[in-house]
Amino acid sequence: MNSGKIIKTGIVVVVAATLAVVAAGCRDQSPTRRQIGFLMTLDHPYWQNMRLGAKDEARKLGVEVTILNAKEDPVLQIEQIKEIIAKRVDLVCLVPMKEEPLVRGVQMLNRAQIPVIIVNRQIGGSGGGPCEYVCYTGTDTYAGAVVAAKILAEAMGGKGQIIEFHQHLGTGPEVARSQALRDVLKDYPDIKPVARIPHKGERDIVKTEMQTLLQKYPNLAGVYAHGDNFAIAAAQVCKKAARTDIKVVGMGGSREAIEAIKAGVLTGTSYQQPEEEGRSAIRLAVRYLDGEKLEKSYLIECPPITKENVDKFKGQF
Amino acid sequence: MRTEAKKSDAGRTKSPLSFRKLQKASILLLLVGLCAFASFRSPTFFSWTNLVDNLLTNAAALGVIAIGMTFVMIAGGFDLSVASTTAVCSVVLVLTMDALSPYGAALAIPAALLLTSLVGIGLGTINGMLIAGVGVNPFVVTLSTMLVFRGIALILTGGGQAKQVADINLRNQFNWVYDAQLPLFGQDYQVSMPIVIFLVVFCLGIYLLRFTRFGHYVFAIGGNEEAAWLAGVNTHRIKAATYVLCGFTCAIAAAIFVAMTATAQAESHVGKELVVIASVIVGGTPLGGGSGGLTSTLIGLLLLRVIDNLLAQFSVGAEYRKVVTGMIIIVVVTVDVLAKRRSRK
Repeated sequence: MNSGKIIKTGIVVVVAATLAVVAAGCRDQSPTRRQIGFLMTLDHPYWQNMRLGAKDEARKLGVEVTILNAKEDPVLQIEQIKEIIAKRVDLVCLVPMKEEPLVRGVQMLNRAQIPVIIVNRQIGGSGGGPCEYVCYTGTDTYAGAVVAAKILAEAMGGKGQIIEFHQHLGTGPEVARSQALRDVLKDYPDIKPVARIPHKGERDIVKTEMQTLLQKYPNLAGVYAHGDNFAIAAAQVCKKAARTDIKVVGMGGSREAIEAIKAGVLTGTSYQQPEEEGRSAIRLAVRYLDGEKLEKSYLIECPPITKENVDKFKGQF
Repeated sequence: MRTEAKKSDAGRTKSPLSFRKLQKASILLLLVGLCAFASFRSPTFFSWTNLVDNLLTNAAALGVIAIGMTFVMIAGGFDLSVASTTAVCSVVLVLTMDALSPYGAALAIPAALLLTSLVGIGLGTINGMLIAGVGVNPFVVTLSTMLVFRGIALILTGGGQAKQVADINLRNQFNWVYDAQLPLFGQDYQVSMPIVIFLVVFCLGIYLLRFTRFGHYVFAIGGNEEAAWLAGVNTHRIKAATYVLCGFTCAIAAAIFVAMTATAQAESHVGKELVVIASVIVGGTPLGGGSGGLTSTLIGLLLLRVIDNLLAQFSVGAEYRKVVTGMIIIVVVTVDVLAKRRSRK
């Protein structure tokens, strides 16, 4: 057998196959429908739900939405902004991965004269040059965090040591949630934050850290976690160590958190509605493209969930 | 490998279409084929905005690192630490610019760039000394320095906060590195600064690799280190130099990234080392070195980018892009292995 011939044929086949796969992945797009780019991240069920909301609303309203996942990486998101500009969409809904770098991204969209709706995370607040956007829609992150911080402070009876689990340092929600805790603690001078732990959202890391912290701070009375996921992880460690006296709050209102509140593991959380955020963004996009004049901000509230009212909530993610 | 390739070519003169050439041509063909396909299917693909402003500009910074990586890999090495090195360099760049901002942009920017280059070179030297001097496996060394450098970046930024030059004027002046558009082909067809930077580094790289003794030694070491050593080449120094060069290209890329985002972040660029290595390999520089070149790397990088861009143009999710990229790497490496096996016969 001539192995050379086989290999050469093999190469041709493989090149053809790769072309075929790419071709199969591509499909025709109808140019008449409005194109909306939705730049976000998908690394948590929260975002998956926002994506579902956005897709469903886009289907209802008859627009085409392209969702790009920046995986919490601002550099990648700016590259995606260039990509979406080249794709000539009519409008971009943007969940800015980080505030300062994405001001540059929005400026690029401004230069390309593509209108922007900012979703879920605020932008342009802390300087970095002017950038223009149509409006902001999303959870009132700060108010939601204040709700959670108040649940914690009251459950602790206004005194004791607490630790804070941050997620994705420097992102808008992280800044807002840290600020919310500091602002609420002004009214509770006897509550002392003893440690702040940054992490990237891995439960196992939160658990390991929590075990260490329980040893380090035997008088610990509360945990303020920037997300249900980590609150639950921390609460499970407390439960295992028979330290159910430690009050743990998260924020988000996930199904799992609601179960944990029912079971008495978690003290409370604030209720966010990612699906509604996605829908709201697409609705506003269509209203804007229809020529309506929009306001600057459309906030979505986050009510508190505690043991008392937990039965009223189902959770969106 | 270079000598080996010559030998095998000489041994198979009856086949004018040598296997190596076919392999290289298949990548180029794939690239051309995809571009042709794309321009028929998507109205926006073959536009200046998409090809130059989007595709090439986005590829430029990684392309610069890929040039350094090509040198390392032709010499038979491997560098996993490039993404971390870039992170450290961007942090250093922003911190020094911020510290020097009272002295004005004319001093702050060149001084910060100089220091950043030195840091890049320094980190490359650490890799080079451990690999060439001590003789530890490059995979192990750069895997460790990848973690160490990332840690340094985190320490410098106080745990991963995004760092920014406080002086808005200075920041905007530096953004020029990314924003500047040169009307090389007229007002409607402008070329962005990152592409220009890439082209300059690319030409310098070609000169260094093809027309200097250093470049020949790099090939010689990748082909047969022992033989190169016996022939009187200071293989340790040359090998170390490839890592230093790679560190330097990371510093250049860091400048582009900083201008792109106006921030430096310790945790950015994670995973970019794999994209860089993938484009070098797809281009045709084999693991183990000895052959390859910068044009091949450029083709490899463009191929990966075009596929990515094409799938994005058709609103295909990132999950498919990964499958396709992975498949292409497997194919290229398989063909490479088969080619080697054949040339040994």
